[in-house]
Amino acid sequence: MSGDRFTVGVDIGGTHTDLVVQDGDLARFKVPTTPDSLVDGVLDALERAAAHHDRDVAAFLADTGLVVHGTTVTTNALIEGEAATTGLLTTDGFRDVLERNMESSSNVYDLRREPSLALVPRYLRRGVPERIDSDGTVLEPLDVDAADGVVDDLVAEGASAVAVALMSAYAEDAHERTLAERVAEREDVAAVSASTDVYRTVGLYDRSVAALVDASLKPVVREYLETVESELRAAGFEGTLLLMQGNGGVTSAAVIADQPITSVNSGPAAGAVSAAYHAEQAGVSRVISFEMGGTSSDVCLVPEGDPLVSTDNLVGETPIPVPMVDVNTIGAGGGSVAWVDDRGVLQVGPTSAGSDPGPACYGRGGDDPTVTDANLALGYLNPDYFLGGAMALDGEAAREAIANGIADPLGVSVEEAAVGVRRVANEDIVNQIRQVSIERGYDPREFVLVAGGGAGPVHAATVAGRFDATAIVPRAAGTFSSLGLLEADVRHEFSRSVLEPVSPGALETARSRFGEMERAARETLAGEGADGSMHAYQWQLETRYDGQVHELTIPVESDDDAAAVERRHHDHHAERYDFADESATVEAVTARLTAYARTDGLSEASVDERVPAPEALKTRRSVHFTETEERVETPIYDGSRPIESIEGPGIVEFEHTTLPIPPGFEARTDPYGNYVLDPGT
Amino acid sequence: MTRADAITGSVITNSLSAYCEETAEALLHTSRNPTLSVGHDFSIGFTDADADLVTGGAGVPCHLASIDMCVERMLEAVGGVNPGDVLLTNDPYEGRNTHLADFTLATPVVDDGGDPVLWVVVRAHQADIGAVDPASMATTAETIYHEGLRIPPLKLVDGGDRQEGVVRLIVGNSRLESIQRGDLLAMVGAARKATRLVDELVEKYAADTVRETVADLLATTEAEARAHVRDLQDGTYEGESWSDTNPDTGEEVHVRAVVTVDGDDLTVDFAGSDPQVRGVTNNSLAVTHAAVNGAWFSVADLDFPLNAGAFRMVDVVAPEGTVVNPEFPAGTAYATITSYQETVEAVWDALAEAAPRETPAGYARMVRPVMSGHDPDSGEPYSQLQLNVMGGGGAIWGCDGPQSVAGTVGFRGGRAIDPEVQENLFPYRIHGTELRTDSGGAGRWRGGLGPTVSIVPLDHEAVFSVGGDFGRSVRPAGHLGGEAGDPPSVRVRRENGAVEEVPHAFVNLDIGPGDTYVQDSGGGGGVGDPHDRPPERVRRDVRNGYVSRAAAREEYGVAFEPDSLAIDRERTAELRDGDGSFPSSGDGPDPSAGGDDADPSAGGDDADPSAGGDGADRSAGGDGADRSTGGDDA
Repeated sequence: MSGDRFTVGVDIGGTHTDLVVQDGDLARFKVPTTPDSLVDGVLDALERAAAHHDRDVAAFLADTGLVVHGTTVTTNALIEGEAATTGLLTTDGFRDVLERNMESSSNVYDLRREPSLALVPRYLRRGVPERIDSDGTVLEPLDVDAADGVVDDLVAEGASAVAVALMSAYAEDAHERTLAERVAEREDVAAVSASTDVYRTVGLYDRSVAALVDASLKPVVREYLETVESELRAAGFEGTLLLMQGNGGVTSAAVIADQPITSVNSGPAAGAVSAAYHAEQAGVSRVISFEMGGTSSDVCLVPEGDPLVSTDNLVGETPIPVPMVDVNTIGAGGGSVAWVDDRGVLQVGPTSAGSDPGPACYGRGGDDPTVTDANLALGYLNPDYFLGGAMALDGEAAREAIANGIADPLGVSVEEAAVGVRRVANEDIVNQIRQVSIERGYDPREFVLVAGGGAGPVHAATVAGRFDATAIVPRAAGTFSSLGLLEADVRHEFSRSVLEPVSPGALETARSRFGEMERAARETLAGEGADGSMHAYQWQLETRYDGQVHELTIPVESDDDAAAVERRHHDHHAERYDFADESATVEAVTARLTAYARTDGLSEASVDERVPAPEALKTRRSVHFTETEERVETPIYDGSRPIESIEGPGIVEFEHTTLPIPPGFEARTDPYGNYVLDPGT
Repeated sequence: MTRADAITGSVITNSLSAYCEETAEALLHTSRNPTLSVGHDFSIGFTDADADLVTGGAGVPCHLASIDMCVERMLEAVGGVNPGDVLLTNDPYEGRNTHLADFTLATPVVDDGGDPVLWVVVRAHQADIGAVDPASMATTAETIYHEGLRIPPLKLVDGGDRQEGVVRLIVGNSRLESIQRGDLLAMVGAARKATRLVDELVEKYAADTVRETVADLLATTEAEARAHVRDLQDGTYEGESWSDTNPDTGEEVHVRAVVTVDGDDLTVDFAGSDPQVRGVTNNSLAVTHAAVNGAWFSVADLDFPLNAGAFRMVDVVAPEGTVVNPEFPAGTAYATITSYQETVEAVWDALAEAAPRETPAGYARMVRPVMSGHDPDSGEPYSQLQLNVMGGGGAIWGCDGPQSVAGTVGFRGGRAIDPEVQENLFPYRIHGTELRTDSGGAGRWRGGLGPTVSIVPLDHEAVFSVGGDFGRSVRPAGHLGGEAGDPPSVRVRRENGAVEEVPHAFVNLDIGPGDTYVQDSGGGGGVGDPHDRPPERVRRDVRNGYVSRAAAREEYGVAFEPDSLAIDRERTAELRDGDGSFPSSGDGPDPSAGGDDADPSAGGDDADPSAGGDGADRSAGGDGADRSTGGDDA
């Protein structure tokens, strides 16, 4: 019988594996990630946690009721091309939809770029004889014998997984189901996914992509999950294992093994949930989550505790058309390279120097100027206290890179060039924040910006200040994402097509679809052991004006009438797009159900002691704040203990990040030790 | 002026690009006609106060590359423009618009004194403007009077008040009232959004800073573009292309371009082009300018978004009364397809002499049916430009041609409509959309493929109005030894099994519920001797079904073992005459470097295609200067 004193969240990132233990209060641990066998890093972290709680790993795990795990294994498999070779079975005549329906090139005049690639080469895309009409009628029965032969061909071409995506399967999935079942029985195919099981929506291209991605991840994920689970069990864990998903919720390992596409991008999703948690600690429910690492800046709107989800997602170059936390990503991270284009316009990213060679100041041979180089040159960063002093930064190399790459081409001083790099990066982030807030009808002044990642806090005050918004920098920016694992609810997304103009009859159809989905959801949640009293369901409709092909997602209640739904569509349309067309017919396209099993979430004791600023003062140095356009002598504080309040200018140095407080800004810590920054009046 | 202004300028320039893209996304999401919401047949741009295009990140080349002319005309024609006004025209003559099917909106962003700082421009293809044939591109019109409602420059919105009378006039002339109205509102909504964004920028950085920034931007672009012109050998280069079908007489219609490079100036003279025709295939002057500018910009390969600075050194001479500058009331409904593409091709044909490796092979000619009828369920009329029939693009030195793109109208752009989405929007069924084996021209770099698309109307009699050009006598040209792409063809398979070939474009076909409309879209031309294509790359094309085994042998000189795709090296060497079968990599990137199964883009194909010493070759003139004979320069 396992105890449930401890709840553990463990997040495997690219460089560190973070582990959080909930036991009345929170304890956090950080160990290096072990790329060759990821689970070893988890065991290392468990050892640290067990020792902290004065017991061995077996005893610690015996007292652990729940482990929530976040892993980048699926995201990495996609980005690094390590997923299984997957073949596509589709309706005869439609195998090139995958190639012909991709987004166009962004620069249509650039004739010298190789054509974009379909997700899988054409020899792995094959048609089968069958056809279903858009209303679900079978026009041509499925020829199963011919289909078996086609699968033989795919296997002969090297496919070890198979995706099935047939025309009009959103209306009638019988053929997909038959094919998937037949393929599943084969010993020479490791995994199969049917498009309607992955995401049921109108659009053969989207469903084909979803099925292909899902099937290609199954072998990788199953092997990984088996290893994690068996190692944890072997170490003495008898409780429940849950996995983080890209939609901001958690689920059982069985669900992930069955539908691994849902675990893609679980890292940024955990970050968004964590941001919401930290805002709640500060008494705020409306959050813009901003994580800035080495290569990118991720921004996500969290209107009331739950991050927004979208089906229009891109991971690396792979479209992921299933509901995922709607993260706006741009190539503006600390390692992003600044450059001057042929017009003399200063640009930041999307190329990144990464961590090897990294920014010029890393001294590893990189000579392109980066955002981190600019921050160092301006005095924001401490060359002797980067990563807590583990790595010395070379200020001279940074200045030289900025001189060669920016200052000389623009004919400005190195100082001005460094200011320019920081301003351009900040404006790119400001545009991201504007896009997820103002452009969707949300006023950013009613939100707080929660900044995480190594570089996020370095830019937090300035970008939040542009919107007169408050910024929060969590006390432990280093283990920021892993907290989201313990805060997230169990969550699943379901969808069914409706495809009717909004009317009492259409709403009746939608209600019956919601009913079907709720029954399916209840079964899934029960299978994960979630107590029925904690279940919650959210209904949404995707709606559009007649003729549009892009939809708005609006909330609906079970007793809404047609007029209410139409009104809501008009209002959302006006908020998002600056106009509504009340004379047009509103169509209900897709019914979407989100099912939750609420979890206890995190609880954290307030910090015992906060020190007055003078006690934390380490030194002073000159810093060029972009707000003041000149260097000011700036007090530098030791961030290892929470500081009561600081009036800018000031800089707080943490082990894994740095928090500048510009002149005129004021920072104070909340009872949990998180920094809350406000622009002065 | 302090030098920090370069940085403020960067922030302003980057912000304008972001606003342009966001506004385009809003219009994509809100428009009601799939030509816009899927086909992306619209453009958003910002011009300066003098109507010079500053930012045109998101848009269609044949719209954007001369959008200045239209804005300039609107400003001249409509006096006393105030904040909140939105101007509108679709007139190719009085408004210097592309063709009646495109509505162009312009609205000012003003400074504190009410003077314009920038203009927001929205140009979009309309669902139906009441022409003689359904949808907005009449196929059988003889003059512009048959081509639909003609709107001279006027105020659609006056000081923030939408002119409902104008809206009713437009909507009342459309067969698709609700969609037409919705698109008009969506365009005004997009213009309003962009104006709001730029307004804030002007407020933050001051009007004069924004003005200085855009002036600098245009000047540096011009300097950069002039440097590219200077790189070309001074001289006079002649080019020509033609369409098969004068809609009136059935004869060829020729476009002739003489390009003169003189220092850093470029003149394109169309003297000798055929007289204007009775029918819809005349260019408006705006389309001719767009064709010249787009053809030049694609060859110049500047690594930043298009703006008017890139065209200031280009002088276009288009004699009146010709197909490239017709006199009123000549029809221009199809200008953006025919003779736009012929004009692009004529300019490319000339530039190919001056810059052979920078100029692509020919693109597939566009044949685009408009499908119309009455929806059998609702009884409502529908009409729609078919968005699934694009053709292949031409290859260029160092790079295969793109598959299935919207011709030179979009260069590398254009995305086919999803067949499920299409079947949901319109009462017809799609029977396949596969790319057609061997439709792309052979070459060391292969032309892109076009698809075969089969369509059946459901339970009603439909009319397919077939416009465009088959280009049979001027197939998408191969270049530098490459082969031409396949021309398009269209046939109707009647219910009784009879197959009728459609002889030429500009006909209306009656297609009943048992009939199938079948279109083989064309492929792009190839570049370089097909015998120089690495055998591994040919093998991959055969494995993918892009190239047949027969074509591999006959055109590429690559033979396989009888029962597999293992290369028969001996036979291949024989077929290739013992020369060039395994070319060294010293001359341009080796496209096969990625290995057979690998991602072709990972194979080093992104390498600089000019690395083979092209700059030096260019002036030598021996580098395959003649596109038709295509000497092998490998």
